[in-house]
Amino acid sequence: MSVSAILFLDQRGKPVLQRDYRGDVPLAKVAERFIAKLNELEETGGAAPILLDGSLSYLYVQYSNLYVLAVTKTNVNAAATLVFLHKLIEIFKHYFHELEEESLRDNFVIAFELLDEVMDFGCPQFTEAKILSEFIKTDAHRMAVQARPPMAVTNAVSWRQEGLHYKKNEVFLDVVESVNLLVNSNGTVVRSEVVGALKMRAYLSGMPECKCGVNDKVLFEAQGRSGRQKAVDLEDMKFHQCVRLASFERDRTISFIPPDGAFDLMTYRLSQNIKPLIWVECQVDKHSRSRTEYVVKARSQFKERSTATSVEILLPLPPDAISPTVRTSQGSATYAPEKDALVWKIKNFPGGREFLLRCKFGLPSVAAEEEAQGRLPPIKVKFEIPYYSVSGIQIRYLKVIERSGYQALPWVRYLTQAGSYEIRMS
Amino acid sequence: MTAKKPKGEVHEIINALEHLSAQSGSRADVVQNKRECFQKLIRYMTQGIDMSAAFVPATKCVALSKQDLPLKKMLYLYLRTAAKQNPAVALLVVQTLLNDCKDLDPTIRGLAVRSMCSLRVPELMENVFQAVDGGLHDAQGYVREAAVMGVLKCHHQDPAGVRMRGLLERVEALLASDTDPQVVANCLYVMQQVGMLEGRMTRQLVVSLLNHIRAFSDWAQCFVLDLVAQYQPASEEERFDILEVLDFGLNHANSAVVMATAKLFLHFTLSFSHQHQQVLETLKDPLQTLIQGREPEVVWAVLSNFLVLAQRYPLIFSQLYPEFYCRYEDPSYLKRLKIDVLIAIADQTNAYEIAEEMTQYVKDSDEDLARAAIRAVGQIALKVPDVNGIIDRLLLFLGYEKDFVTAETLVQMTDVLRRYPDAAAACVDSVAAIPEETVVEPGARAAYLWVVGEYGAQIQDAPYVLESLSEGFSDEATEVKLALLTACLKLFFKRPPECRKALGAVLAAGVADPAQEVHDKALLYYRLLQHSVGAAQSVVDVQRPAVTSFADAQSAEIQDRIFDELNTLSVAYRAPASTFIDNDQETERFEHDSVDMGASLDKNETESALHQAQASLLDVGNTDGTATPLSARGGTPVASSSGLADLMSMGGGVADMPSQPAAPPSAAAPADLLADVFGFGGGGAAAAAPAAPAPAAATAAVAPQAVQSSGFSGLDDLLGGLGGGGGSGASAAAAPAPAAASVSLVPQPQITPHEFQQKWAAWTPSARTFQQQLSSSALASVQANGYRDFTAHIGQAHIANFATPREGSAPPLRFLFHAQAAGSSVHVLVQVTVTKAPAAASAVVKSDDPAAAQHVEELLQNLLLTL
Repeated sequence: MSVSAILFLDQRGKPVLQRDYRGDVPLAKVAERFIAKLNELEETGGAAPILLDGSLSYLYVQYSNLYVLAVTKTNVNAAATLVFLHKLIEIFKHYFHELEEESLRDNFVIAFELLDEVMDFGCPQFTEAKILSEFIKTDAHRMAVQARPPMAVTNAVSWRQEGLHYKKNEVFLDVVESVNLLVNSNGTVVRSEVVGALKMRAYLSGMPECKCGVNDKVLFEAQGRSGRQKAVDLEDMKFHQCVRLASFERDRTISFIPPDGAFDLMTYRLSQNIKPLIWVECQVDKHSRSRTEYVVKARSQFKERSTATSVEILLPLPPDAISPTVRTSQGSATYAPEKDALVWKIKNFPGGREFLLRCKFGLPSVAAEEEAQGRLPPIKVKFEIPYYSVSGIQIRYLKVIERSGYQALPWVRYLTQAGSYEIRMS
Repeated sequence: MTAKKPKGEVHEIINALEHLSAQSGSRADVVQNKRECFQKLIRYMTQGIDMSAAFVPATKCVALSKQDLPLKKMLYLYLRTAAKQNPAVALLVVQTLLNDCKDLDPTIRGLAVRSMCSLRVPELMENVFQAVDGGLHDAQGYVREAAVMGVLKCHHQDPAGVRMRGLLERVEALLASDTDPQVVANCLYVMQQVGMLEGRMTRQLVVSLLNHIRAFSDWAQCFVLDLVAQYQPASEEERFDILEVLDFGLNHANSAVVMATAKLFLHFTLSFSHQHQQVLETLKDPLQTLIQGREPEVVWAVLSNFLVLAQRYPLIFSQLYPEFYCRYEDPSYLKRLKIDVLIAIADQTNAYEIAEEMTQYVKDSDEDLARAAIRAVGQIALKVPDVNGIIDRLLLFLGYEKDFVTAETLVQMTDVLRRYPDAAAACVDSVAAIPEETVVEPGARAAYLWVVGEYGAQIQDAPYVLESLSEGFSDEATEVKLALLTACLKLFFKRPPECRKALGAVLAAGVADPAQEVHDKALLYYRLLQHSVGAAQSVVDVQRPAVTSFADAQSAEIQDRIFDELNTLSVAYRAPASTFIDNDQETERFEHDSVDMGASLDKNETESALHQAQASLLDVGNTDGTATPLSARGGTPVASSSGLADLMSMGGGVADMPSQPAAPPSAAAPADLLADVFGFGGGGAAAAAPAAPAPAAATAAVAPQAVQSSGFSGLDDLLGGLGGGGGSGASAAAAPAPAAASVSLVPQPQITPHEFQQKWAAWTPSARTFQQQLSSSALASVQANGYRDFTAHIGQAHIANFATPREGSAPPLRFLFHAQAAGSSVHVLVQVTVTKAPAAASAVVKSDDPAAAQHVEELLQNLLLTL
């Protein structure tokens, strides 16, 4: 990957910050030309995250009110460069809390320091926020005479510093599963899948050795105890770099020395068909040219002992809808004209229940052509079901062993939430 | 964009800096003030204001707060820019920089080395080398990392100096011995950048890299994977060992590593179809996860790669189709790409479902998405033989009564009808029911007219539609006029009495039309009819066999090259790297600020496509009278030409390019028209120059003078002009002057690449050079036929071709030739560089025997003249 320069541009394409790595592109003109090219292509509907302009290629990511732009003249690895830009955004967020034009201007100097470290002459260097903090000494008053070499160089476990100490040794493991669902207007499930992550926050002293067991189907079958316990068939498991893959491949145990703080221990995916957890049906009754009524049924299709919280159902209305009136059997519904939608919020939605919403609204009688409106956006649903994992994954144990022999407290939580959850309107 | 700021700002900063430098550097408030001052300085600099005047106080200020690292970094940042604007000042701080290179703190040492190498001041090079040299020996990896990259930076500024000091050899030594993974990674990067790795990816190196691959950073892993992908394992066993070691990459958390691993797996198993299949199967899972990722840009990049795979192996991925359904929130570029993937994997098993999904998008309020969805349905209809359900979709779209939906559907419909004429019965009525005035877009109007002309016998009021259109002839777009002419004539043969009036009107209006191609076509029809109505009918109104396959927009060869370049920008642009990367890239030097990057690629492509089309048109005598499939070369389908002499007597089989696959279906309409006129497929030219109406472009390219001078004098003249063009093409192939007497060359000279290289380098001082202008047709003939014509032409004089550029490369084109004198071991080496602007060939001739060199030079001059 040979990136000539990285620029941060505001919405109008003016550079907020730029770093020239190779000096082989006319940096002064790049920002202008990028925006010109982008506008040109947006008009013809041909804009994409990678644009070609003469012999220059622009790879960019749009984030909050910024364009993060990499310029190159070589045939770079497209995916890697875009991943790198996202990584860069992540690092900046780590330092500034939020990345946007204002925070970038406020943290001008650190931004330059970071840009200096993450890439040298267009070749990516360190992008781990924790390692970078070794180089970026924002603390001005530390007259560190004792020069300490950066940690990545000396440490065998590059993701963890030595000599950490906590009074109370705790480790939190959250099993978070997001359900992606797409239902067609005729009620058939087009696509459904679960994306899961084991999110860990480790506050442990020393160099702890951790082991984690899940009810993995492959493991259970290997041990000959399939059938006795419910096991899940996880697809495409990905681990944090701290996990020893060799031992996972050998006997499917997940063993690791955790980094300090929060990280994703493992991610996985399940594409087997799952019953949609919250089912929404919207019946549209057109009483007359100007009067329409929605009858919406929302049904929870999980076990009664669980309860979904913060349920939010976004029902699209035509943009020219007039004075909608709503009645609900549970929760509250408000009209959000800026979204052209009705937002139905239900704080608690226990399993196996069904709630109703009726909404009447008018349309202008001299209606704009019906077909001009096009298809309505899909119904979107947000929810969280605590203490519940839709895949049935279970953390069987989480052991922490450290030389000093302290007892660590493992905390495990489960949460299932809606990801991209769309139900198309008929 | 140098902003105008009052000079006062600069002075204010200088004053503040001077003031601060007088104060004690260790006081907290002073440190704070200094930093703020520097922040201001850098902010102005970023805005493009020349701040080099503040140089002296700035350095003094920092010199007094030695331990303040952030301040130091800001100074370096400032120096990098200021030194470029005002090199003299940089010399003043060199000692400070060198001192920093020996600082106790490794971070400062690394920083100093890195910054010094970025100064780019020629006068400082000596010091920079000193710093780099020290850095390479440093005990701290962090400093060595910076120093290794420094070698590359130096190499860009002063390659000779780097060579003299043996710095690259030092980097190579570090590669083998260093224990810090990032240093090793940087060494690799530097060596790859300067071309030292070519031919050096030995088994030993590959094994040692792979053994430590998990220690590298994600980016270095990608880089190593890319390098290893170029390595050829010696045995099958080794191949599988490598694959096993790298298995982890497919489950890596970083998508870039997953993609790099996928590429390596695919390339390593390419010639083992069974394993290749297995790899593709294992890739499904990780790819599926990546596609559901949260970063749309990354998903787009992954999908761009995936599209290449999907086009190569549609069967393997056909059941994944629901994964590619668009989410409502997806950015439009992602939606477009997903639709392309769906088209690629559509087959009998999923076509119905995909078409159903597309129908949902057609109703979308996003017009671009809706159009893309209609095009997708059209393309799927062409791909999947069992077509009924899908044609019903198109008919359904016509019922939506939205103008743009109707327009897009009409265009798709004509392609489907050309492919499946049997479907006409179901479609024609629906098309006929469309009120003509709602079809606005020229492309759609032309498509509409095509249907009316083709199936007019079944449309009751077709003649009246044409008649009313003929009244407004002059207001139509060129494309529509051409379609109207053809439609009127075709229908005339079917329903003469009803159409006589419309035909008369359009022919009269057409001949008087200012657009050349409309005029020509009208005149052609007119003369044909004048000559004999029967002959006209046999040319224009014939039974057309169904088009069995539409050529892909890209040839298999191009697709293979994109596959080779998987995981690079090539997949994003859907074109091989040679089309968008400068060939001279590697030798390019710094400081290109003044270079005009305006040369637009599209223009180049169009031009070269025209040249190609021209070249093959010149090649008239070689192709037989039947239409040949368009061979899409270099992304531009080449127009095939049929013998012009055959034109008048040509059977109906060729007249309307029946079996001739059109390039992208959108180009089909103009190609069709062109075929009506001349009987040669203009599809290539039409595709290449969609803006300029194709027929005009093609004819003009063939014989510009002929067309101009013949003016409107008619078909005979036009043909004469074309014949002239053909003639000049033929003369281009005429044999060159025979070789002179004194030195004679052996017919098949022998030389190894190694020898060639050695001698080429050794004989540089005695090189002879000359340059020769080339006409544009000569230039085209160089590029034609994958350079084979050109090399054969030169080969006639026993100057053998040694190396040619990759086919389809953009000029400048470099050729190497080699000749050997008979009866002696005298070799002559030649390099010919053909440039496009100006169109010229420059040659370098080298030999150890001046007489032989002179002889070859003369031969070459003659050969280039007769090109």
